[in-house]
Amino acid sequence: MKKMMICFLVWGLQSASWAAPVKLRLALNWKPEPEFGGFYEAVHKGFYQKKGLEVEILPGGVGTPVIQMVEGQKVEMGISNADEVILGRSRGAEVISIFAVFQTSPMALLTHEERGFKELKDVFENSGTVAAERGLPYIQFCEKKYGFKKVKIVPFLGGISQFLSDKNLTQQGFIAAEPILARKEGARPKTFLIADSGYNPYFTVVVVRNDFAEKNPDLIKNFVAATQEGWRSYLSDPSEANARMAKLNPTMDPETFKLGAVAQAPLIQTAETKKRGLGFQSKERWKQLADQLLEIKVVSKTFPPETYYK
Amino acid sequence: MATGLSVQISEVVKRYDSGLSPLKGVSFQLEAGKFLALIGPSGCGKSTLLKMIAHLREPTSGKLLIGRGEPEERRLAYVFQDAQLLPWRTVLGNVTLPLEILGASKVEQELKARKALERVGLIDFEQYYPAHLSGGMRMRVSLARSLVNEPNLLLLDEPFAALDEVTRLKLDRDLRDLWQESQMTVIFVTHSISEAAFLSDRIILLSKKTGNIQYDLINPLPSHRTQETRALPAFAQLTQDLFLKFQDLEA
Amino acid sequence: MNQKLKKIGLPICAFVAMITLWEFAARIKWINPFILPEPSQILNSLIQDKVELWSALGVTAFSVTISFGLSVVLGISTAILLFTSETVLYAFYPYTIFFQTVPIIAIAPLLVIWFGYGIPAVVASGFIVSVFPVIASTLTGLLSADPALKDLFRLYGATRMQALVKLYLPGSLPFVMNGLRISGGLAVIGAIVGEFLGGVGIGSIIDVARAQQRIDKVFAAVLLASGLGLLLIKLIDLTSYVLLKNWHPSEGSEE
Repeated sequence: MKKMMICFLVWGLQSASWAAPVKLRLALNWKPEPEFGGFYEAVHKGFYQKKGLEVEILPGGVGTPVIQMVEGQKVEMGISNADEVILGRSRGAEVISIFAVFQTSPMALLTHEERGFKELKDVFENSGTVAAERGLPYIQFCEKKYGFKKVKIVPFLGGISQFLSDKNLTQQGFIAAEPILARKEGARPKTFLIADSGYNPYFTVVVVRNDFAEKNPDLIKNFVAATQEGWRSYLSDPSEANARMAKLNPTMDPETFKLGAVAQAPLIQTAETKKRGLGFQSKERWKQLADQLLEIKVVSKTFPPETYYK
Repeated sequence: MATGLSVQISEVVKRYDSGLSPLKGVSFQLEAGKFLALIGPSGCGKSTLLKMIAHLREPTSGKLLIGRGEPEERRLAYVFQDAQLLPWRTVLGNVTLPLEILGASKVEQELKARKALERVGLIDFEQYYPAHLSGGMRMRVSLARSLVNEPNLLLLDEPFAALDEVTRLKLDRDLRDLWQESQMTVIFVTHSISEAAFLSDRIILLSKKTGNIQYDLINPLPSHRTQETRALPAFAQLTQDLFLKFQDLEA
Repeated sequence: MNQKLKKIGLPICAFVAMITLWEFAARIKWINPFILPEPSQILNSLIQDKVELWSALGVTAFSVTISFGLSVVLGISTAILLFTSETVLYAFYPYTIFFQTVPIIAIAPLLVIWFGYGIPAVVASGFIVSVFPVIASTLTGLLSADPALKDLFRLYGATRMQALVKLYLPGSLPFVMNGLRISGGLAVIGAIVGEFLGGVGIGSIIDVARAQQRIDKVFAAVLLASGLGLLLIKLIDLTSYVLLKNWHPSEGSEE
């Protein structure tokens, strides 16, 4: 009798959720920070759950090989950037982008205000040191465009301690993080977006294997819809998701989370996304980026732009 | 050839922190130039006593007087249970070591070392490393090293215990000859009755139980010893006598 | 003779078999070349990028030599210093373990800030991870001198200096050589970690190739780095053999 009741109960529960949710793992390429806010929001507000998805977010770190993880089916989804997708494709990875958080790349260079630079070009055309993560295409693009005659490029060590200790140092960073931290430490950073150079890959894009997307068109549609809802919610009130992320990433203080979310918002929500929806990707932008990468010889071949995204 | 040193031991006590006290007031006098065999069961403190005579250990109480007690007259040598050679030095290098430490000239070092090697019959092996020698040869190198500074007091701590019987008998004879050629005093610690009987002209038997001298006798054997000495009735009598005393200790 | 043939021949056969299997597995898509490139791709990178790779290897080899050399000299001197005074030993030995446990990847950025970009930071990183085995093994060697030999030196009234030079130091040589074997491999690892952030040498190539998803180049660089480590360890083995062949059973009885 008891047994039967339990059976009944289980059956009831199962039918209530209509079907067991599909489990998805989403690998981040960095620690929980505001640039992932919409994903955390969608998980905790149950937007994915509502669409029958159970998304587990796996934080990353320095050099997390997200594209390799997705390609190797260690995870179903991962966070990467548009230029890495094109690079990965040229090396044989069968991945595509299904959602682009940042319409404008939040990658920026921080200089000290005391140096009086007016625009990005000044950083490269004056003497000084630029700490940049090596191997990233943007630095090659800038080299081709500006020519590094006086400036010295050195590896980026992470953090901002180097920046704080050297007035002549320019470093890379995210608009939503490093400038805020530097200001808190008493520096007066002046920030220039890399996008000003004309090199502007979609940033924080969700990648999946191509065959996975083809086999599960509904799942992708549902994921994108839930993610959009997550970002809409985060953009209107980031406080709850920020609190959750701050717990997972104690290296960033709540104040920086708050300011970061504000600083990044205009790069995520643009006139175009208002018309076409958050996460929008255009053929023109992908084509432009592929051509740029070809021109600076980071890749030796490209594919039709529509094959890079969905 | 230097005259040997006399040794005076009075009321020497050794007590360890553990409370164990192997020596409880040992006294004896040894005249210069004598060959003393110190025997006893293991743990009776004979090796400890030898180390104290060499000034390598301090007695808990009591007095040891070596010669007149002046450091300058003292030229000691010590032979350990194993040959204790420096494996990274050649035979010659091992034998020159004491002279090197004492600051002799290079020429003097090698001259004396070769002489010592000649005395132990290893002159053809001076460039060998210890790893390539037999146990008996290593012990001969150790003997040569102890002779190189022409000691006036030679201390040996069960030096041949690990060697095979034939090698051991040969080395016993050689040691006796070496002593007779010199005037040095020798104290030889062993637990072998026949070795003590063959080598010495005086034998002291230490008791573990009393922590003191149990038996002290002058060796009655003729001073010239050969392999045949071991076949003499007097030798048999002496070893039998020592054996019985030894047995009393154990009982 | 037969034994020798086996000793050399078998590893080569095994190597060829493994490489063939690997290449085959990649060609028929058992393994994804994007995640694990096939041998021919790695070879291709070795040829294609040879100028870049070899000049980087030269820089790495230079840094490794300097950091290993510093480890040997400073490690042995530190051990002697610790050995000569019990007070110094008890006071400072616990802190040398810092070098053993320091997570080099975490302090590598600081090294760059302290020593500047390029070779100085790389050398510091290689030194930090490779010095402890030298200190520890030398100290163990010095402390394990035979008590009877110590007595022998005392008997002849040897000074501390004489005992150190003629007894303790030569006696510790087999221990030191063991420490150097460990230290040599670590110096290569430490230098490459330093190069990730120092921006020079093989480590820098690995860093850049990783960002550019050039896994074949990463493997090619790793291959050269392990070759460098192997060469260094073989040189240490050879030195050890020459120094110890006459007296230490571990070397003398080898062949």
